[in-house]
Amino acid sequence: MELVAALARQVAGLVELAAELNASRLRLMAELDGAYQRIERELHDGVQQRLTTTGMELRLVQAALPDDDPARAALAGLGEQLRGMEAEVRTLSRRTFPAILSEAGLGPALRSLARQASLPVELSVPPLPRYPALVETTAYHVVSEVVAHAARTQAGFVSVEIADRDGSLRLVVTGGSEVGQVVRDRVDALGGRLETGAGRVAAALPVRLPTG
Amino acid sequence: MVDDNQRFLEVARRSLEWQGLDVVCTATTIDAALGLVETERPDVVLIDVSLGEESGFDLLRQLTERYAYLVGRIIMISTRAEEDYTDLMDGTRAAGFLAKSSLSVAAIRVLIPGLP
Repeated sequence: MELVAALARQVAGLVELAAELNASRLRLMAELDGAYQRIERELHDGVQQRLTTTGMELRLVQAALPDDDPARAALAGLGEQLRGMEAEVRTLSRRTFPAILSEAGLGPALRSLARQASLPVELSVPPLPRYPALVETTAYHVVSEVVAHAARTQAGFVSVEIADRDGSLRLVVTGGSEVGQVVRDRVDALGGRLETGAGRVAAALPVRLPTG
Repeated sequence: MVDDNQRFLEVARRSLEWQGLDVVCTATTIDAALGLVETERPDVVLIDVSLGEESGFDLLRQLTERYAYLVGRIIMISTRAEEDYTDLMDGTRAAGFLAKSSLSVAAIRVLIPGLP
């Protein structure tokens, strides 16, 4: 009897430990997403904004010069360089974190992703409510990884189907069947399921975060 | 012109005024913008998409609800690219979107024809 009681205590301890570890995984995910989001925000409010205003000031200086001033051509060249830098920072900040995901949610973020993908991405997404940030970023990562992989392997196109059913957000992405371990970990930490194979990835994410 | 970045407001004002547009007032928050539109009645309102903690789209909605004459007279601006916001622009009553790097009086006139 004592042995059984000791085992029961040990099992209970392990269950508690597993729950603690999962809560810790969720905290780490939230911290990582938050860090990326802050960097994107700082790039946008900081260097991106300054490059834009500097470009405008440069054009003002240029416009004040006489038409035949040779400095005009030099300033125009600098303006071109500034525009190039702006485009680079824009790409960098978009890759860091999709601002539209936190601003407007999963639907608009996926439509933006589809528009910017190098291959056709067909979306079938109903109007969705806002979900906890971790659910939205995880769903977004599932789709963006399949799209990135499909683009690398020159697949023809990707299609994404999303449904919100019975407290669970269901995604079916066809056109690629590879997602990285970290995305699998994310889905798992949320208490969701992810299946891959036969050129598709299917995931189901609970729309509420596990508590405890 | 509504933007939470003071330096942008200053530079954009100089740039637009040099191109012949009269910038009647600038604001950095939704509350200040609502107050100024009420007293100044501008022909056009330029709104930055992200106003710090506030959303430029919120201000757009409030303005077009309160002032019928501003429907089709508001332009959303951002340092982010237009394709990031295409989706959010759909269904709004704005005249359009301009990336800040493309902001000019000519671009404003293309989006809002028939300005004085």
